[in-house]
Parts: sequence; C-alpha cells; structure tokens
Amino acid sequence: MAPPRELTGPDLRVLYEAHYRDLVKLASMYVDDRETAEEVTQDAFVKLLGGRYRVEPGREAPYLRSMVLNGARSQLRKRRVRRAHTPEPPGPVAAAEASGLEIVADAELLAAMRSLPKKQADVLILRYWLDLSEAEIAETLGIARGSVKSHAHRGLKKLSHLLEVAS
Amino acid sequence: MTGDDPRHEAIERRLRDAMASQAERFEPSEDSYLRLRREVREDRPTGAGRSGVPRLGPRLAAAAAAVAIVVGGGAAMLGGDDTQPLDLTPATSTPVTSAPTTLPAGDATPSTSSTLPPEPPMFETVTSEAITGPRSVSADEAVERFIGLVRLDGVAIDLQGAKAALRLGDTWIGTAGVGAVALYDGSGPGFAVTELHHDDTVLQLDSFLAGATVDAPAVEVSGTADADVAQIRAEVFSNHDGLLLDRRTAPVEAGGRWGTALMLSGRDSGWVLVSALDDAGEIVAVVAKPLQWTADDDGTRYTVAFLDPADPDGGLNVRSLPGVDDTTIEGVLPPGTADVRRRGQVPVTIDGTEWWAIEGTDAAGSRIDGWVAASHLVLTGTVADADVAEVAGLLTSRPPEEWPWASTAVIGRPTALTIVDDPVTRFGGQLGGLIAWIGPDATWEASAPDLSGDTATALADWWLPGLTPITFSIGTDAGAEADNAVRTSLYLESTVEGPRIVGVVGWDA
Repeated sequence: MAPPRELTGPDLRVLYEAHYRDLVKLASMYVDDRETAEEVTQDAFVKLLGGRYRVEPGREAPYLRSMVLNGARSQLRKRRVRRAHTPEPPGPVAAAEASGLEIVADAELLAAMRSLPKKQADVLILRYWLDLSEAEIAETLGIARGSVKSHAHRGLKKLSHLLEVAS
Repeated sequence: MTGDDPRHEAIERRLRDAMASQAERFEPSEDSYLRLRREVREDRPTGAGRSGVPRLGPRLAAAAAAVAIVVGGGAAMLGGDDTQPLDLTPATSTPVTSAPTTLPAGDATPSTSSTLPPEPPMFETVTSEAITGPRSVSADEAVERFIGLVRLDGVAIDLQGAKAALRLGDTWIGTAGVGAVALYDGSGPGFAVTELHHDDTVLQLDSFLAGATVDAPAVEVSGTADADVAQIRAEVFSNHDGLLLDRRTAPVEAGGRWGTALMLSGRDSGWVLVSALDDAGEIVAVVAKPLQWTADDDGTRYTVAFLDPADPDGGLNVRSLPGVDDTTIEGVLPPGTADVRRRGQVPVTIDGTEWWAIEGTDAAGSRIDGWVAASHLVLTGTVADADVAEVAGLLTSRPPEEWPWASTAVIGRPTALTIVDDPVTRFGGQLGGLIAWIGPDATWEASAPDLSGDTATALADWWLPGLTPITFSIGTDAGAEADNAVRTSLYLESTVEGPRIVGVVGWDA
C-alpha cells in the first residue's frame, strides 16, 4: 500500500476550493438529493487523500471526477433496486408549481440520460455540464479520444429516440 | 464544445439547460469542509455504499452543531484558518453552467497519459499468499479464507450450520455453502460461495464437483450472470503457494449463460474463482469454490538453453517471484536440465521479459520451484522427423528470385562453428524472417569470432542442448562469392502447431 499522503490543511483546502462544489453538482446528475451527492463527493476526496491511490500532482481533478461519477452511478443503481421494492416517493417535480412544466421536462430528460449506458451518460455529463474537452473527458474516463466522440454521438442519438418515444 | 451533428443541436441545448437547472439546486452544505477534513483524517476505508450505513445521518447533525460553535453564523473566507468552513457560494447568483474557473493550472492541460488509477473495485482479488496456508481448515477459517481471497469489502458472513449468509450491511447479498463441498484438500470442510447478489448484479455458479475430486486435465466451469455483465473471468489458484494456474475469460451469452474450461495439471488443490466484469473491466461480483484435482501429466518438459557460457551463476536462476527486482534466487538449473515442468498456464511479463512458474531439478538433485525467464527454455524431446523434413523442404525449395545469390543444400552436422552476433533468435516458425535475417545485406557475421571445431561444437551444445539441428549451406554454388560461403544450422523444436525454429548457428564453410 502506498504511504499515506500528508494531510496538510492547504492540500485539502486547495483541492476543496477548486473542485468540491462542482463535484457535488456533478454527482447531482445521477443522484437526486444533496446528502447523497455530498456523500459521494466526500468519499472521492477521502479515497484520494487517504493515500490508498497514488495520483500525480496536478492530475487530481480527473481522478476525482472519475470517482464521483462511479460513486454516483453506484448510488443510482442501489436506489433502483430499493425503488423496485418501495413506493416511489414524491420528488421535487411534484412540488414544483411555478415552472412545473419545465422541471418535468428537465427531469424527464435527465432520467432518460441516466438510463443510457454508463459511458454514454458519463460523456454527456462531462461534455454538457462541465464543458470538458474531448481530451479531458478521455482522461477522466480512461478511454480513447475517438471513443469520446462516438459515445457522445450514440448517447445523443439514443436520447433523441427515447424522448421521441416518450412524447 | 459542441456536437458534430446538426440534428443533435436541439437535444444538446436542452441537455445543457437541464443540467444547469439540476446543478443549480445543489450547493454544498455549509459544514462540508469541516466534515470532509474530519473524514480524511479519520481515513475511513469504505463509503456508505459499502457498509450500507448512511454516512451523513447522525454525523451530519453533529457536524452542523460543530459549525454553529466554530463559525458563529458567519462563513469564513477561503484561505483562512483551516478550522473554518469554506464558503463556496458564488459571488453572484448566476447559475454555473461551465467548467470551474479555479482549476489548478495543471488541470487545464490534458495529460498525454491516460493511466489514472481506476476506481477501486468492489471486489479485489488476491493472487498470492492470501490464499496459502494450512491445507486443512475449519469452517470459520474457510470463511476467512474466502474473504481473504476476494476481499469482500464490508461483507459479513453469518454461519448457520451447513450454510451461511453473506451480508453487505443489512442487505443479504449471497449464499455460501459450508461443508456442502467437503473437499477442501479432502481433509477439511469446504466452503463455496455459489451465488452472489450485489447491487443489481447477480452471478451464479453452476453446481459442479459434486463432492468428488476432478480427475481430468481440465474442469468445466459454468453458470449464469446478469445480461449486463460484459464477461466473466474464471481463474484457478493453487493452495500450494497461491499461484494462478490458469485464467480464462468468456462472454455472457444470451439468456445469461456463460461457461469455460480451466486447465489443470499435476495433483493439487486450490480455488476456482469466477468474477463478473462490467464493461469497464471492473469486478462487480465474485463466486468461488474450493477444488482438488489429479490431472494426468501430459509429459511436456522443457530444457534449459540459451545461456551465456560465461554466466557466473552457472545456469538458469530460479527466482521467488517473476522479475529480477525484489526477488530472491531460490536455486539454479544447470544448462541442459531437461525435466523442467511448467506450473500453470499464465505467464507474467515484466519489462518485456516473459516469466514462467516452473519446477525442475537443480545440480544437487533437489526439486525446486519458482519463476524463470521463459526465453531460456525450449521444449524437451526429439524433433519429429516430419518437422525436420518440412523445414528442410522449405529451405531447399526457396525460389531463386527470393534467394538469388545462392542455393541451398541440406548437409551434415558442422565441424567448425562461428557463433554469429545473435545466434539465438526466435522466429516463431516464420521462415521468411529467418531468410531475411541471413540475407546478403545482413551483418550477422560481422563480429563473429572464429572458433575451433571442438569449442564451437561444445558451445552449440551449451546454447542449444539436446536439439536437433538442420544444417545447410549457403553460397557454395555457382554465382556466390567464396567469402559468402557459409553454412548454417537451424535448431528446431516440435510443438503441437508444428516445427518452430528456436536457434540459428552459422559457421564459415
């Protein structure tokens, strides 16, 4: 096991300031409550800073993004299993009033996106939420740059189809 | 960054808007930094997902109380006292729809490498000492052995008589049979996990080895898995030292069926471990069964060859682990040792060198096992006449346009040798490669020392012991200059795929 990194305040602070907020929002693309999004994000930081994995200085961001995406998706899978046995609780959609239709449409779109194969959904999130370049997405997901383009294309195509069917 | 297909513009725009709207609803809690700092310092090894216990419940309340004391209602500024929470609230209420602007400089430039450490898998298999130990174990020990084998993070096992339940937190995830497969080396209770549920993945192992020892060179392993499992990986490990003896992958067919066969050798006991892999190659479920077997020895042996005559070790080093770093030399196999047997089918490649697990007899007559560089082994045995004839036929039938400057003829064994620069070159049976190598423009004889006949013969025997050469001449006929007149010996081994050229020795005519 690699020796633990020194847990100095600035080290954690710098990473926290630079990435924490966006990672919580990144997790929110898969999970629907703040606590879980934060939980996933905190797990990623703990794994990175706990010294279990050696990450080159300056390359923490793609690692954290990768961990958050995996963690959030894992939570989503658990939730699907639980929901299979429990009634669906009323979500924020039902509570919305003013811009209800828009929220419903957004929720449907995000739900459709979450139903895509993992890589396709991850690429779309990194591309359209974080505006990452193809190279950054490739590094985050550990895939070739060419695959980023094909996953994005297939994801958008499938998403369009899903929405057409739904409408 | 926009998409490349104009038909997708509308969906891209909607997606951006939906994600921005979703993200707007999520802001970190005020005490997130303090909680994170505490989490890091506590360095809890697992997340809530693994333990099944929500991480944020009671501790969130406790942390919130701590924040009230420390902060006193005000948010600290970035870069302040490390005990203060950090304010990540944007200066304006503008929704964040683009990448963060506070990324470190190094993050803005994509790295040329894509070797990020992977997300740690839920199941991490262990391939060495973790599964070694006493051959006879109690049920409790067997359970521990399995946990050690697959490192089931956060998994508890409840023993209930002859059966056991696997729990991840409060959730049942699988069934374990204790004693149901009572063949753990025939002297202790067996332990098998034949079905595992994790998240929405189910992996199940068919019943096999119904209480009997496998008496065959292979064991068929099959079962079912979720259709979304990309493939399964089956492995068999030895109890002797945890050595991975064979590894096979197989797709999950329609209907979720999968199957493969693992090769066994000798008499041994160990574990069959089957892992379900997702499309990212991560392990999402694991099942395992103990196994013991008696497989007929197929008689395949290897001979130690291709050693430098001046090698100070006097033979082939047998190491404790593959590679030369951080390993110890367990013994030495002299050149020509012909009884080397491979243990397992899975080589390990380190820095371009392939290592095999083997056992053989050292100069003192003792059996030793360990790892050797595979390039120093050739198949033991007589080269089949048919193989000799095939290669000789290839040599003498080369059309003149491919070998225009000389003709060839198979002759007898050499009486004097010149060792060429790299006489030990493996061609994988590619005769064309050999011809190119000894072509007229090659420099293979440039620095060759002249040796007396006896020395050269002895040297050839050292380099290529026990092998049958095919000796032939090049450049002895009309059209060839006298200086080019050389003779060459090819050394062959007979493999199941046919003859393979393993060495070349040339000498002056």
